[in-house]
Amino acid sequence: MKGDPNVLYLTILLCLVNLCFCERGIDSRIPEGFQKGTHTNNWAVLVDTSRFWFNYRHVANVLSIYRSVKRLGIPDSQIILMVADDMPCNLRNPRPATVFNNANEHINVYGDDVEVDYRGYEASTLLVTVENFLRLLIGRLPPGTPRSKQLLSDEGSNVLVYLTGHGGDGFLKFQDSEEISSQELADAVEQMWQKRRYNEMFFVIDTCQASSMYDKMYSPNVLAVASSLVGEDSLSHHVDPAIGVYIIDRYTYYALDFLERVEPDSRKTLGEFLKVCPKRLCISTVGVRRDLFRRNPDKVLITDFFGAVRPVEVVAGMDTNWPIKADGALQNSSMDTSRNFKKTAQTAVKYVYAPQFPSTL
Amino acid sequence: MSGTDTESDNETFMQDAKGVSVSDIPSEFSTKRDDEDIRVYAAISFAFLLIIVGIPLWWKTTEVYRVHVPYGRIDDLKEAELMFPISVTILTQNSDRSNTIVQHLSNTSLSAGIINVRYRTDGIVDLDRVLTSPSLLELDSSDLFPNLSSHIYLLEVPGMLRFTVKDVVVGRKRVIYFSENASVETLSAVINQWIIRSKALFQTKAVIEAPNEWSRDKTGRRRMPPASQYDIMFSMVHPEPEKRDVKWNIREAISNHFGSLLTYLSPIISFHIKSQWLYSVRLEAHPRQVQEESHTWYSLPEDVLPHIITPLEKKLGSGVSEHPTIQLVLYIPPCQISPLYITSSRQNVLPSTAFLSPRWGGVQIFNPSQNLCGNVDKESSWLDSEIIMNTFKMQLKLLIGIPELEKIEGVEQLPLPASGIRDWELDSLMRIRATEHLISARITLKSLAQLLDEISNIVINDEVGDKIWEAILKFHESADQILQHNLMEGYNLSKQAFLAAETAFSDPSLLALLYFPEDQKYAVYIPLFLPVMIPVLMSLKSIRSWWVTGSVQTGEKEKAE
Repeated sequence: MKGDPNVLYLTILLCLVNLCFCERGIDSRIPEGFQKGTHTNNWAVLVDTSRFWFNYRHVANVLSIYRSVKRLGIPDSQIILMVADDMPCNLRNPRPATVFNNANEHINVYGDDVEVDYRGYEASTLLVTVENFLRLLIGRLPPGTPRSKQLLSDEGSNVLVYLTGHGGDGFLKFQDSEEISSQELADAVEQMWQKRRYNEMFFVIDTCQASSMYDKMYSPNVLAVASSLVGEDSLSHHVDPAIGVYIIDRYTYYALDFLERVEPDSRKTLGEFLKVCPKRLCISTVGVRRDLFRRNPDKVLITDFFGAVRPVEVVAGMDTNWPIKADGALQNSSMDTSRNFKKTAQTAVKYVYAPQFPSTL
Repeated sequence: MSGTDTESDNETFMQDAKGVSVSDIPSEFSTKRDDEDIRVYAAISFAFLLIIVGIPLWWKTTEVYRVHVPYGRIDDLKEAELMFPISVTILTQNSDRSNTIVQHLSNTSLSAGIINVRYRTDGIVDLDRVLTSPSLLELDSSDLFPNLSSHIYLLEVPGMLRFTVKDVVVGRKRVIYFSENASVETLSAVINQWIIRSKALFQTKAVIEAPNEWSRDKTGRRRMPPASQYDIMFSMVHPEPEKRDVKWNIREAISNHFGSLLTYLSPIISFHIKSQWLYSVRLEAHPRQVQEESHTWYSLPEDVLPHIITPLEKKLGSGVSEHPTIQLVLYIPPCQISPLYITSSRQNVLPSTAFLSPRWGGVQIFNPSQNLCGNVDKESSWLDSEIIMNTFKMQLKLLIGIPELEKIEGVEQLPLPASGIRDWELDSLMRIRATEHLISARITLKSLAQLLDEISNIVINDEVGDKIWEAILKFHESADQILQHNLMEGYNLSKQAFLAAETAFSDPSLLALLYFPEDQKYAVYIPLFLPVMIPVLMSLKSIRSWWVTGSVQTGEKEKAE
């Protein structure tokens, strides 16, 4: 991937329109004209495969997505985060324990509580390797792996897989020492399908020649979006002079820009997300594979993959000190409120960001 | 082939001869010819070692260890019959009525291809005991019929009006009592919706077999995923221990109020129980104050409940256990928002104090008396275990997969037994779980077999092989036991089959040789062997020419003689 600061001015348009903070209550009904998802839970597997300081931007990429899915309600126990290097605590990081998505340092994507499940290359059993990634997907982890580091999805799970790193035609490099081929990935997905480990899967791949990663896939209910087509490089967004390296990739920069404006009850669709980075912004062509996906992405809520479902049922208690006279009708009954609620921080204070995606970088 | 054989025989002979008596051979041939012979013998011995010994040895030692996998038998599992027999015995005073009921029941019940209901009318009942019994509860606790799993009795009780106004009363074991006035429709509703539940069973099967066409029913979504054992984590969340002193002996509460449920379930589900107190942890929600004429209370709208669990989960710490954890949380609200109740915006829904999240656990809010606020060390600070535990029991029951009973007009149930679960409910649960276990074991084995068949360099160690066999055998045993009415044995075997199949599928050794596929094997060994092989292969040519000239010379010599 190459940095290309010459084209940065193109972002002006998008960034001027983006920040609209309207007050909304939580409305968890499925809006008109949307195809209801059949999933019952959400999982996210976020992978950054490259190490070394000059790959700072890949860590920023993966943490951007991590930040979004967590904000939209997927609990940490259902997010598997694989980060191949430790940028926040790297000695070259002028501001330890931070990772920023742009040079203005408005969004610290590292946040307050990041739970990394698979780490870089220090001696430990859970490294970011092709083998561990495949083991994680298929569920063939060594016995004794903590449940929080396993993908315990089932036939009702919508799984978001985000991959970033250095790729080539038909492979994605892991840690400069090995690579996963698109065939291996496709076979792993097929085995997940056979083992009923997902309901629908959404791949977001931000690497060079990223679309080669989804070309070989053949399992049902898979939607994939890639930052570049075969033969194209995927470019980074800009350099932060204080850090001295490119700090985020174009595709993820605009994806985060989009996701920052998504709320748990937003009606933004997956179709809009697929168009998040047109060629004039990304420079590379964003590729989409939708023939395996049964629903129309334009009618699928973005929160079907980036948010979480936490259905809840109120059970009639057997409380005696009741403020209202309870009659026996409540016994043995439970009312169902398992409409798909999305998590939100329902606070009275409205937080407004300073422009997060500045136009003049 | 035979030519080669004789050739190598010759060589061996000649080699033997060589060391002992080369010099003794009469020097009919020239010395040049002798040297050539020795060189060729050496070449032959190298070629022999390399081709006859070396290559097979290399082949053997680099071979991938693969235990035999019974692909055929895995395919056959599809044909294995999975049928749950249920026997329903109808006992009335009048054989015509019995027959009408049987007729109606067999018309309305759906077999769904997985349940086989047999109706009988030929049971014997001790009518004196029925007539003299002071209450239905007492009648139900006496052993009127052998209480076997999957054997349901429909007993007409003469003069049931003296016990209850309802027409049908469902017992705690496997007996349903009904009056002379009970309609066949009510009876069939009870049998189909509560007892047999063939639709749920069919759906459980279909959703695993064809996930694209079916989705789980409400109970299926709520039920914990199948596992060998579950952890139950009791968490007492107490945000303000300094302001309100509450005491609760959790150990005693569990053994007094939870023990009977756990004992009852122990033959089929094992639990591991843990408990913890969490101080100064708050629910991230802002309840609304409600003023009523005499008192004030706080309302937690049900809409915010989904957002409470995720932040709370972080503090509960369930990620360390290898078994699925059922969270049971008791929340004692802080004084300034107490008493706290969950309210609904919908009509006719009364405030509640408990909710559950499918496949996760349950939360209940317990409001201790207000005058404890600010006072420490009071006798009344002991919490009421029975109320708390009854709610937890109800939540646990729903989470392990026993559905709540939808209302049927004119039907009532006898009060729950101490365990909280009726015998016929357990039968239904075991049927659903056994189906789930067996079908997913079959799917798992099929996927594994396809993988092993297609990728020929995966190591299949003895352990995986054993587990595959175990799963297949237990699958058949389980189906047999179920067919013979031994539901509990069948269930337990199905669980073993499921766990064996899971273990085989998820064995880490199946990914161990991922980076050593067949083509890489050649890539590694050819650079090693090629430099050796080239001179050897070249020498084969000279051996051949030596052989030809040798035999020509011998032929000429023979002719000359």
